[in-house]
Amino acid sequence: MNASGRIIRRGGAGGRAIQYDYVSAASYANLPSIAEENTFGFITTLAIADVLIANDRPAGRPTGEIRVKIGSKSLRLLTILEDPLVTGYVLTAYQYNGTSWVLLEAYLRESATWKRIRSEFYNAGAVGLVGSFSGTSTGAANYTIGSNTLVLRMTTGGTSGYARVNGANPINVTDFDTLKIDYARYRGGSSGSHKAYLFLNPTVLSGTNAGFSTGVAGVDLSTGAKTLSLDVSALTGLQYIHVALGKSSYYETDDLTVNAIYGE
Amino acid sequence: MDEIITVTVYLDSEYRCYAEPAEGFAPYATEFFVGCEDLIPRYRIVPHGESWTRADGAVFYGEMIAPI
Repeated sequence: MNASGRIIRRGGAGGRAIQYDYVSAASYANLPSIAEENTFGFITTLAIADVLIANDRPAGRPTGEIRVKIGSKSLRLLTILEDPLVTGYVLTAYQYNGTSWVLLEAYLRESATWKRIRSEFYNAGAVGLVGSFSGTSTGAANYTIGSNTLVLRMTTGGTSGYARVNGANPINVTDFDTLKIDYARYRGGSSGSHKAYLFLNPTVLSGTNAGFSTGVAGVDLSTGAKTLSLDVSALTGLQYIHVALGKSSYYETDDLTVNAIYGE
Repeated sequence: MDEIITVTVYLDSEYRCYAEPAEGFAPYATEFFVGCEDLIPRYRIVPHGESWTRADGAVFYGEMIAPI
């Protein structure tokens, strides 16, 4: 299947059709193993009515229509035609289900593999868009920017501590609606006052214990291994990504391991 | 241990924050608005143990604090 549009030069006829192919499947495992470069792979069971490159998502569109958002920067570069005629960084794909727009799990074919469409800031040691991560710690705490993970720890060396890692450069959150984090957190007890947060702020914030500020938007990183989301749909501009862990009492340990941070 | 200072806000069914109580609103104490109470009506707080589903189907688990 494919969808097409046309770019018309100003003042008259002409222009060239732009082509972008797409396939749909019920799961990632069901995507075809062979596909042309720049092919979209959408994970949906709803029949696709059309695929548009458009950043708006108005109500009342045909059921099954997909809109792919192009933004200022992501890791998925869409190239259309051989010149290339059009390139754009693909951010998200939403499908209209007759009532509302639903964020799709979506892929773009690059270098003969399916690459997830999302803005990756950290993924198992690979750093994207923020340039690098840095950190700080004080008291009974430490941090490690490892080859595969970001790790923050509260140690038994005291009753108060703070550790933080943050992107070296701010990200423009205008381009996506959700910031997600894949992590695992395990506490050595439940008596102490501890806090772990993923949060955003226009400047880098510091702290000394569990009383640290959580910036302009944040989500609590509760214990366990999970993926949590932060709604940034109403947030705009440049923001620094922070992951912070602190405690204000007891000698309990607390380990937070971050596997990935990305925007959708 | 230092005393924790909080501000009580009131949450509607969509977890939008209000400075004043009203029928059906749930009180919620948070440190987030201490010193910046004027921001209360511009935020959503999903409390610990609860979740909110955005119009596009994305689910957010508390505690989450985000601008509206």
